[in-house]
Amino acid sequence: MAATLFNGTSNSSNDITIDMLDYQYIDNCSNIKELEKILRALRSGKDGYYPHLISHCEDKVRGMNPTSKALRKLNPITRTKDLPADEAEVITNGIGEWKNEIHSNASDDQVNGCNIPPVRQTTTLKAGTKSTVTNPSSKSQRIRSYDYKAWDKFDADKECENAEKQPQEKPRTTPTSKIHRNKKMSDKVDATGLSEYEMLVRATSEKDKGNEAFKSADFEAALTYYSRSISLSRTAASINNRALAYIRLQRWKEAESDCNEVLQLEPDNLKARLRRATARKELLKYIEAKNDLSFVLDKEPHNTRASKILEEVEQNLSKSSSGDASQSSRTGRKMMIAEVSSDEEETDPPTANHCEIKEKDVPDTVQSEVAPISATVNGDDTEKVSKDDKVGPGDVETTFAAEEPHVEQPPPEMPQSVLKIKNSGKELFLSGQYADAAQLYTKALNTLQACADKSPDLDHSCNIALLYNNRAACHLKVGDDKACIADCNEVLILKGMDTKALIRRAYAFEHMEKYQQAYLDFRSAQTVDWSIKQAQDGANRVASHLRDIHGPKWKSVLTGDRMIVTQHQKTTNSNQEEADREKKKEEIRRNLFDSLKNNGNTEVKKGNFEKAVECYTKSMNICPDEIASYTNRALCYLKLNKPVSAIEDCTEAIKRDPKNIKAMFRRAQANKNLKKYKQALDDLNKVLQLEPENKSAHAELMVSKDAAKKEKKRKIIIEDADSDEEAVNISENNGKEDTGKEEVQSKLENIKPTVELEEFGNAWNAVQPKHAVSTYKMILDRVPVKNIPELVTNKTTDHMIVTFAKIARYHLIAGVKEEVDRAYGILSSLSLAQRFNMAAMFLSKPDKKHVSAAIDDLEAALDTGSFTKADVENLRVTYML
Amino acid sequence: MDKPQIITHLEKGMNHTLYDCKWIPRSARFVTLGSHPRGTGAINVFEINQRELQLVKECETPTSFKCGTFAASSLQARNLATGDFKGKLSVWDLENMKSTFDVDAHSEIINAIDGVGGLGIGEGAPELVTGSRDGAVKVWDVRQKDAPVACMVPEEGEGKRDCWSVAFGDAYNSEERCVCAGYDNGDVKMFDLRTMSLKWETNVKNGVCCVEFDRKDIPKNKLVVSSLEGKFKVFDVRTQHPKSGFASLSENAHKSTVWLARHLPQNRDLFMTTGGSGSLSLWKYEYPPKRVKEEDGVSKGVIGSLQYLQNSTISTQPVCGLDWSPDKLGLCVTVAFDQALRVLIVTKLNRV
Repeated sequence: MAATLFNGTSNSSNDITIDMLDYQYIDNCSNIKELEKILRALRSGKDGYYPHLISHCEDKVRGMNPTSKALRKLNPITRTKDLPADEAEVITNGIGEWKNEIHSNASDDQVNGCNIPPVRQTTTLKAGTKSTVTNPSSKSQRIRSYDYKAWDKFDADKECENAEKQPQEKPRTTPTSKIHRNKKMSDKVDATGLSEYEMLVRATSEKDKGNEAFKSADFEAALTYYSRSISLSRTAASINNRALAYIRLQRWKEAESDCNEVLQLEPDNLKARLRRATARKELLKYIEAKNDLSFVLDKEPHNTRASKILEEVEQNLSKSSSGDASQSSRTGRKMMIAEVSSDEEETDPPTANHCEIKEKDVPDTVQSEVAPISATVNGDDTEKVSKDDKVGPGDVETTFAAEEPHVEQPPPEMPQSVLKIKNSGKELFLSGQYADAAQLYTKALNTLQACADKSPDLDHSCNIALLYNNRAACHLKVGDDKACIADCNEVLILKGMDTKALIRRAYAFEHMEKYQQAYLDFRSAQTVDWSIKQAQDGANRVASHLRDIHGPKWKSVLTGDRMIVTQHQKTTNSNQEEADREKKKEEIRRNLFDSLKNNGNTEVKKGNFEKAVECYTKSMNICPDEIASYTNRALCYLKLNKPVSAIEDCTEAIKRDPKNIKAMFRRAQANKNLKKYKQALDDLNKVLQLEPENKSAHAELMVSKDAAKKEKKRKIIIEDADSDEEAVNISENNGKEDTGKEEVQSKLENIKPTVELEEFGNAWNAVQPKHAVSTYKMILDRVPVKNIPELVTNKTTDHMIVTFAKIARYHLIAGVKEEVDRAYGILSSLSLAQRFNMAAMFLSKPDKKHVSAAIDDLEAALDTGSFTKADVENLRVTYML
Repeated sequence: MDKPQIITHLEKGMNHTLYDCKWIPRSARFVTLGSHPRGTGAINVFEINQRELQLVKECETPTSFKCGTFAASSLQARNLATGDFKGKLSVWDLENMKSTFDVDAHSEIINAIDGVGGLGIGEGAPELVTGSRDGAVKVWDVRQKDAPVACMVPEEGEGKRDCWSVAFGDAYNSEERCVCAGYDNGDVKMFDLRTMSLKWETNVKNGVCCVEFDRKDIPKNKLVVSSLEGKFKVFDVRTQHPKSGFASLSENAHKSTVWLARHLPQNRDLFMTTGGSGSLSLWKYEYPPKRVKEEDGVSKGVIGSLQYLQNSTISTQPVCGLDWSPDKLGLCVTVAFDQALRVLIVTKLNRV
């Protein structure tokens, strides 16, 4: 008995020895097979029962292979009564309801008389066992080597003949499968003898089959099943599904007509809209597609698919309007590629409409903000960089001067006399005598016109345009808006999309309070060249005017500004190249914006909120209408405890999208931090109106209400933070930030300024994730330096030391005396805490690096702080560096 | 976790052995078939009320029942076809518990029965198929009383094999139809009823306890074959290769006989297997990115993978009968050799 037992152990666990059943061994083991064996050995309990080790091993296996068979555990029976009361209730009620429903349908009138095929002719197939003579497709019997009798009968010659015959026979078997494949199921179901309820049930089951076929990528079959379902009952759901099947089969026409039908039945079906837009896009019905998409985006502004398709459609739309020549190529994507490549071949477009114009009223900050962008552009487009280099970070004066040099470049040189007049005009302009300058420019124009008349072979249009443009600038300065607009119109006719002219005209329109035209001009200038700050600022400014006048629906007043922009282009400039460039720029701008935003997001994840703010600010300059950057920056400000700036950003975002939930939510948080509970509650209520299920908003609402009520004496138990709130709605925060963290943070801010021992410990431990230094900082900020040792008590850990060091560095960034002193204070008082020496001794290398960096920074800030070099050296010694 | 849960909603112990159970279509009732200790047959009809099972009808017949099906009956009549221990095939009108059709179909016990063409599932005439210990697989049309319409018997002189399971499939139009049969020696044969030929055969090494197509009324798609020794196989029967046949995968489950595999009527890619140790396992089949590959100009099937969704041990004895409700997603009834029947609910099936 003992022997078998012993054998059993050694056999079953084969190469699993006792020392393998160990945490460390399991941790280090990377062989999944071995781990599974260890797990089995552990579970067998032969070497003892270690529940924690088993679960540890399970975790490890799960980490390596979540579908491992070793993880399959047998679950015991679960009865309804074992379930939580509410779940049990749901099940019981569900069955009850179903029963009632089925009862009411059971009393169907008995309909009979289906046309059933006749009875099959009686046949017998003798193929019950191995012998399969009747079956031509089965393999011929192999004679076993020991079956001598059979070998005696074996006729080699005959077999040879047979072998030759066989290949001819074979095809006969395979086609059977093919024939039946080709034989189609009918698209309709014979519905005779079915009651209405039955038809509905059949229709549902056919639709289910369609869905299954669709899932297995068998779209043809799915189409058949959906058609069958529709033949029984025309429900929107199945027609909609069939539309999708058509789309997958690239049968756009049918898809469109199906969608039409669905939309007749359910006008608000967004899926059908989206599908119809897809089909219409392929059918080259761009405008209709656009209408569908804007409908979808109206209802669901964050539908990424819709916006993606819309982007494509708009590209195609502008293409088809600008270049009919390229219309011949079939799909939108191909067109785009072709045009982009042609654009690249043409290397350097005329420099006329680049972004050198900087009016004097543009503040310096604009320049300095443009500069870092040009640095990030680098990888994207070399052309752009060269252009931005021209602009440079220099002062306004130099950029303005830079307006002129390129004037000399255009191919046909200006006649000497004209040039002279023009130069003196420029001098007058620079010295501020705009009226005189305008007169000179008029003179130059006249002379040039005369020259042009004399020698028609020379194309002076460029020069004339330039002069007009300059005169327009003068008129603008003088305040003669009408003349300015007239001149700009001349320029635009002569040269097409000239950003300078566009912007000047926009200014003139703005002065005349024709905001719509101004807005359109600014926007077109912007689409030509994204980097023109003026255009962006102008567009925003005018947009806000328009909003004041027309209310939130001001865009509809513009009757689709973008379309007009494109049409406008068409009228002023049929030059395709121009449109291409514009598109390209748009694209580059997009890319740049995206990359900046992503940078910002990664910084947020890392916890470098300052850097993130920088990124978002840049991205904001590129795409001022993109809400995401505002909301994201607001988040960063929240984290940096700058609620006022956060509120500003949120307000900006809400201006652009009055229904932006994120922005409202964040504004509420910021307001709460400023103790403006009323505003916070207002915002939260709005959020909940828009999205009643938003959990975090609910939670926040509760907190704010509480806070508002007992503002004076309140204590929040931090443990709350890691209960429900960790599961907050992810859609709200786009998966970018950890709302749990936000929650903790916002709660912390509401706690009264001094901290008791227990509270500090709880708060400190509740912080998630563990590298969120800013959150820790907030906790620590409420602690006077001298209290640190007693608060920390004997709980000093290496993590705590490192976090303190990081916080100290945060303080040092400010460079102010109090902050620096506090940084020193934090580090020095921490060293007085109990068990500090022990913890410091076990600091790992990277940890030590953090600490020594903090002390280095302290040393660097010696001048501002009220501590001596000796103090810092002391600190170094106590931290054992 | 959004995993389906297998919940035992109602349980009832009986005083006789239960072999099979079937939902009565379009109702909250089901029927159990079994054998009284004295060797007589038992048909019981139960109805589920909110918190209990109510015995609606019961009937004792001369011979024990082994299996039954509604699948060849019209939705209006809802007649139950049964196979008994003596090889008799009967069709019962459950309203008055009278048989409307009786035939001595086989010389020995009918192990398995299946139907097609009724209940709106499958095109063509309603037909029944029976598999028996006498080795024959017979197809019946209830309009023809005396003889089967098709018969698949072992060659004379060959040893007959015990047929343990039968299933209809491929009934997507009025002509096509096939029968799959599994035998005690591990043979699986697929007969084409239109051409009356053996379309495919294989051997899974262990006795075949259950064969089932994922759906009967579509061009044959998948076939699950469960067997002794805790193994079952899934075949992709869409594409047949002239040499290697159908692509398949094999899975171990239950550590004992896999008695049954039953596909969810509402989703063909989900199925439950029942084990000899009283356990249930829920599986999901996942298709490969491409189901067919070309090999030397001949197309060959590619098998996907199985996902293990959930399990539950509901009994200590083999679970020999399981039927999903065709009307309510996730509702099923099981019978086991511990003489108990259980109504189970599998939750969240629409989310997998």
